[in-house]
Amino acid sequence: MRKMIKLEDAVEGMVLAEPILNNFNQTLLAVGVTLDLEKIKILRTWNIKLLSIKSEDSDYDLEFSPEILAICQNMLERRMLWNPRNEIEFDLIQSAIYVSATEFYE
Amino acid sequence: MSSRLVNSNELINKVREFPTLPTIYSSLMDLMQNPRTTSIELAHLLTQDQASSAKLLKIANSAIYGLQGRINTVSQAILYIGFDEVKNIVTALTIIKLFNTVHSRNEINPVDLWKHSIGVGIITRQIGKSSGVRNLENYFLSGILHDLGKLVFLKMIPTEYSQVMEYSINNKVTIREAETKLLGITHTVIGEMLTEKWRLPNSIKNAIRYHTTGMIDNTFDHLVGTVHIANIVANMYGMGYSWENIVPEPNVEIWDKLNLPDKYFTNNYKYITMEFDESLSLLLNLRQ
Repeated sequence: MRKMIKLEDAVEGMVLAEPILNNFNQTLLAVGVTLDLEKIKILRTWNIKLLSIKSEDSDYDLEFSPEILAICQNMLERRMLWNPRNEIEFDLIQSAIYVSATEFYE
Repeated sequence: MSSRLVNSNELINKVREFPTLPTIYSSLMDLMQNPRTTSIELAHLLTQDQASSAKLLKIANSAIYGLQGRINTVSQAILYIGFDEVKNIVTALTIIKLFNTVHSRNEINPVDLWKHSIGVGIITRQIGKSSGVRNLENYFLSGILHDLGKLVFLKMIPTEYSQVMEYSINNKVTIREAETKLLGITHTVIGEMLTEKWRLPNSIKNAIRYHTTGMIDNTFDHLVGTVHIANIVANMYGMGYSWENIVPEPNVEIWDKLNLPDKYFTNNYKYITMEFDESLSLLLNLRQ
């Protein structure tokens, strides 16, 4: 599994689940690279803000109560007149529920 | 008797009389069309408008281009992000400013629409990048301008456009369907006409005209398809408010063509929303 984290939360030993690319789609750090202090420092100088790292935890690093997720799902479904037909649409809906849930805590 | 609220031919004539873009834009276009133009000449033109050039530098240094803090002059901005992208930022700022005098009407607020449009711009660029597009020129700007026609309607026929929105809510149809029913012309067509008047590139014109279907006459176009998806994503993520109360259905064929990796949105939603928050203040606070 993978998880998005802020660079400030990166620590030594974490493993990249997605490559770090520059603006021209060139790979700066490849998938599977293990972070050390030097690499974290370099990422800071490149102004990288978020990283995708390998993790046993959920893709969504905030835990929301089932009640909040159900409210958000219901709010979204009331505006949707279509049902998801493929994996990417399921993934989009799931991420939209989490975006909406995040707003409950802001 | 027709149930239309306005005469669509009169609307078309009003669009033809719409203001042209300010002189700085046409001077910029003239310079860009000359292959001998240097970045120094271009920078000289842009720095004549200090407010715009300051804003240009802030945007060039934002997360959108991933070069934060490295760009100190307009010449550097041109060097790092390219002539065309600088032109696109100036175009976006110019057009946002041009519509700054459009006022809210009931629930229809232009600032909400700009927020939605900025969200679409960010997602369009992000999807383009993730699906391997090397030349991302016009991706951000196409997203930002995709709903231009709605602003034209709000400026020209605010009362009637309120009724269009009311109709779409009461009948659970898209704004485009409500426009067709009550106005006989859609924001996509009006937007396309304005891009022609302003001589914006064809790729942007197509994105505005076809973003609701995602295809140009049943033919896939990467930018048009991406704006189509980005528009739906921004709507679902609650980025601003496009005056659309239902989530339009994605054109399923476009997913296959974009070929995004598994769990694409799960892995990117945080980055997208963060970039959105950062860009809002940069693009919408025109007094800075």
